[in-house]
Amino acid sequence: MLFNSLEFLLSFPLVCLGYYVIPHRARYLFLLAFSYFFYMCWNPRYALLMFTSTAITFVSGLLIESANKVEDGKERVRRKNIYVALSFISNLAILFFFKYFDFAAATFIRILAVAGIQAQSPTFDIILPVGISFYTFQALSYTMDVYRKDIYAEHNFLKYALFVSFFPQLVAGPIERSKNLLIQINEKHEFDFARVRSGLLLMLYGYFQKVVLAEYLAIVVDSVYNTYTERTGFQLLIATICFAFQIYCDFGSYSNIAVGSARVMGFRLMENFNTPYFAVSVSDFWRRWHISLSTWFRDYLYIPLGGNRKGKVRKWMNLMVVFLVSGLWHGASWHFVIWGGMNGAYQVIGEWMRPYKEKVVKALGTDPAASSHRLLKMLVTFGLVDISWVFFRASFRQGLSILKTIAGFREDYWFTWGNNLQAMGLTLATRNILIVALLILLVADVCKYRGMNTIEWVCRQGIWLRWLIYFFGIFGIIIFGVYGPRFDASQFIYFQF
Amino acid sequence: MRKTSQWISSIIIFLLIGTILFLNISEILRKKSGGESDMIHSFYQIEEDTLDVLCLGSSHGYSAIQPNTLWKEFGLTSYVMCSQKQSIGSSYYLLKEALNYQKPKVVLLESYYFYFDRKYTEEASLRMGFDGMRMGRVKWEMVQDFLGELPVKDKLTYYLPFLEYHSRWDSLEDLDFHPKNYLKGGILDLTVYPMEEPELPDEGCELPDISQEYFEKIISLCREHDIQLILYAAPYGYENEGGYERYVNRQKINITLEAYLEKKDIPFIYYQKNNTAALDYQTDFRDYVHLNMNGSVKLTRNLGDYMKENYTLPDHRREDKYQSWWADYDRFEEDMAEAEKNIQKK
Repeated sequence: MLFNSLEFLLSFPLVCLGYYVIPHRARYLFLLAFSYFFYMCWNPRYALLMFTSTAITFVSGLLIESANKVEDGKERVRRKNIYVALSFISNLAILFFFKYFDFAAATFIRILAVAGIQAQSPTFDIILPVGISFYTFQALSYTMDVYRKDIYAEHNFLKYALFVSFFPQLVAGPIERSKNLLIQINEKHEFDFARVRSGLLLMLYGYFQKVVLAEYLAIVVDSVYNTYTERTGFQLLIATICFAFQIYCDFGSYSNIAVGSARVMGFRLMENFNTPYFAVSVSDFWRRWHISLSTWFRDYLYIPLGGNRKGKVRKWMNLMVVFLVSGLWHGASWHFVIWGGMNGAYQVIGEWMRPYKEKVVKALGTDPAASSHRLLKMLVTFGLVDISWVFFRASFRQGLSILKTIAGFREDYWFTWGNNLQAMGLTLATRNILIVALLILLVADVCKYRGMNTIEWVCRQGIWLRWLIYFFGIFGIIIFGVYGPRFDASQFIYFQF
Repeated sequence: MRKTSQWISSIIIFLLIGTILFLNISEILRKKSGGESDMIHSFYQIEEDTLDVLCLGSSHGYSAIQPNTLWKEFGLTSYVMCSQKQSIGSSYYLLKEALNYQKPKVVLLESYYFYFDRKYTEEASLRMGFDGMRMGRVKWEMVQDFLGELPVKDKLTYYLPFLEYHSRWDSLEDLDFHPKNYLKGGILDLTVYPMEEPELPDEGCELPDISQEYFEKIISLCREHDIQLILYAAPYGYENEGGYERYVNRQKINITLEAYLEKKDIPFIYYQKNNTAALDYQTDFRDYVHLNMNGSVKLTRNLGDYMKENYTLPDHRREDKYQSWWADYDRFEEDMAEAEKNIQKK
C-alpha cells in the first residue's frame, strides 16, 4: 500500500478512528494487525520474512538480557557477543540473499571470467521485498541497544513486532530506534486536536512534495535521462539539478507523511531531513540528509570501527567504509557503491584540505561567517552532492557520459535555442506550476533553516488565512498533482532499497 | 466540553466547504461531451417533468435535431441526450436515468448504432455519455453491466470523473465555465459538405443480438411509462470507395429494421429511403455522415410535423411556465447569427 494510493487514503482515517475508539490496552494489537495488512498488500509472503527478522531479534534481546545475569564477566561477554553476532549474521544473511545474491553472483562470475574461467550463475527468481533494508536495520538496532544496555529487552513479543512493523515508517523510514519508538508503544495517546491537525498538515505538505513536486521533476529527469545521448549539455544540467530536488522531495515526502501520520496517532518519529541543500559541506549534508540512516551507520558501524578515536588515517578509512556500505545499502549495483564512495571521498578530501582552505580564506581576508561565503559553500556543496547524484540515477558509464556532456566535452552544441521546454517533457503551464512549487519548497526550507516551525505558524493564524492555506494546499495537490488511474502509481524512489 | 464541540463543528464546516469546492471544481474540469452544449449533464438543468420529447442516439442524432426548432415551430419541449457513438445499450441507461427526472411523451431514437454488436463502443465514448450523469442507481447499474470486470479503482473513475480529468487544468476553455445549456443538447455547425445522394442496398442483414436485447428493454421501459417510441434514421453517405462497403453494411441494418419495427408496430422514419424532409445532399451535410444546421432544421421540422399529426402533443408556447424556453431560443438565434457572420467572413 503506497502512501499516495487510494487504499491508504481511505484506510488511514479508519485506522485513526479505530485507534482512538478502541481501549488503550488493545491498541497496539490493532496497529500491529493493520501494519501487517499494510505490508502484505505488496505481497503476503513478505510478511513471513519480516516476521522472521522480528522473531530473531526479539529472541536475541531476551538471550542478551539473560546473559547479563551471568556472574562470570568473561562468560557474560562471550555469550553476549555470540547472541549479537547470531542476530546480525542471520538478519544480514536474509538481507544478503534477497537483495544482493544476484549482484554478488554476477560480480563473482565477472571476476572468474577475468581469470579465464567460464561459469553460469544460478538464477533465482527473487523479488526484493519492499522495505527489507529499512526494517532489518531497525530490528538490528534493537539487538545492539539491548546489548549496550541502552534499553531493557522487550518481553511482549507483539509489542516488539509492532515496533518493527509500525506502518508509517515500515517501508521507507525514518529508521527508528528502539530507544525512541518502542517505549512509545506503551504510552496512552489521547485525541488531541492540535496535534492531529499538525500531523495532518505535515502529511499534506508531504503529499505536495510527492504528488506535485517530485512527480513533475520526474517528468523532466526521465525524459532527459532516458535519451541522454541525444541531449545538449544544458538540458542534462537542468535535469541533473532537477534530480537533486526530485530525490529530495520524493524521499522527504515519504518521511513527512510517515512522521505526520504517526503524529496523528500520537507517536513521535525522528526527523529524517533537515534542509539538506543548505548544508555548507558534504559532512554537514550527511547530518541533514536521511538522518535516521546516517546516525544508524554512525552508531552501529562507524563507532564500532573505531570512529575518529584511532587517528586520522583510520578515521578516513572508517568514513570510506561507512559510505561504501551505505552506497551498497541503497542498491545492489556498482553505481550505488560509486555514489557512496564519492560521498565518502568528498569528506576525506574536504578534511584533508581544510587547513589549506582556511589559509586561502584568511589570505583573501574573507570573514568565514559572512553570508556570501556561506552561500558559496552551500552552492559548492550542492554541486558536489549533485554530481554524485548522477551516479545514483544512472549507471557508471551513462553517468560519465552525462557529466562529460554537461562539462562541454562533446562536440555538439552545449545549448540550443528552441523547444527546450518541450524536449524536457514540460509545457509552459507545467513549467510555471513547477516553478511555483519549487518556490514554496524554498520558502518552507528557508523558514525551517531559520528555526521557524511553519506548521505552528500556520496554526496560529486567523481562521480565514488558515483555512485559505488548507484549501489551497488540498486543491493545489488534487488539481495539479500527478496521480490517477492513467498514471502508473509511481513508487517512491526509496522503496527499492 | 466547549472545546470539543468547537472543533467538531469546525471540522464539519470545513468538510462542507471542501465538498462544495470539490464538486464545483470537478464540474469545471470534467471533459464536456459533444463540445458546446455539454449534452448529458445540462439535461439536469431542465425543470422536472416539463419535457415532451427526449432524443437518444449517437452523433447522427445530435447532428439531426434542433430542440430550439421544435420549440419555436411546434411549442414542444425537447432534449437531445445523444452522445458520440452511443450504443443501444447506452441509450437504454440514459433513458432510464432521464425517466427519473422527466415524463416525456415521445422518445426519438436514432437507429445508426443498431449495427454495433457490443454493449458499448469504447471507453472515451462511454465517458462522453456517462461522465456527466449524476451518481446514482442507474449509473451503478450501467457500470456493473458494462464494466463489471474492471477493477474497483477503475470503476470508481466513472463515479468520480475528477480522477480522470484533474489534469485538464491546463487545457480549460471558456466552454468549461459556460456550457451552452440553451442548445439543449443540439449543436451549431454551418459547415457545408456537398455530396451525391448515395444509393440504397436491396436487402438487409441480421440485427446484432445485443442491440435487440437492449432495444427490447427500451421498448418495455417506454411501455411502462406510457411513452410513444419513434425510431428514425438520419441520412448519411460515404467519403470514398473504401467507405462504400461500410455505408452499404450500415444501411442494410436500416432495411432490416424497417420490417422488424413494422412487425412490432413501432414507427420508423427512414429518411434515406423516403426523403420526406426534402434533404439536399449538396447543401445539408457538414461532413459525409452528419447533417449540418440546415439539414438538422429540415429534419427536425419534418419530425415535428410527424409527431403533431400522429399524436396529441401540447403546445407550450403561450404558457407562463415555459417562458424560459423563449429566452433560450433567443440565445440560440444570436449564436446562429454569429455563426452565419463568421461563415460569410471566411
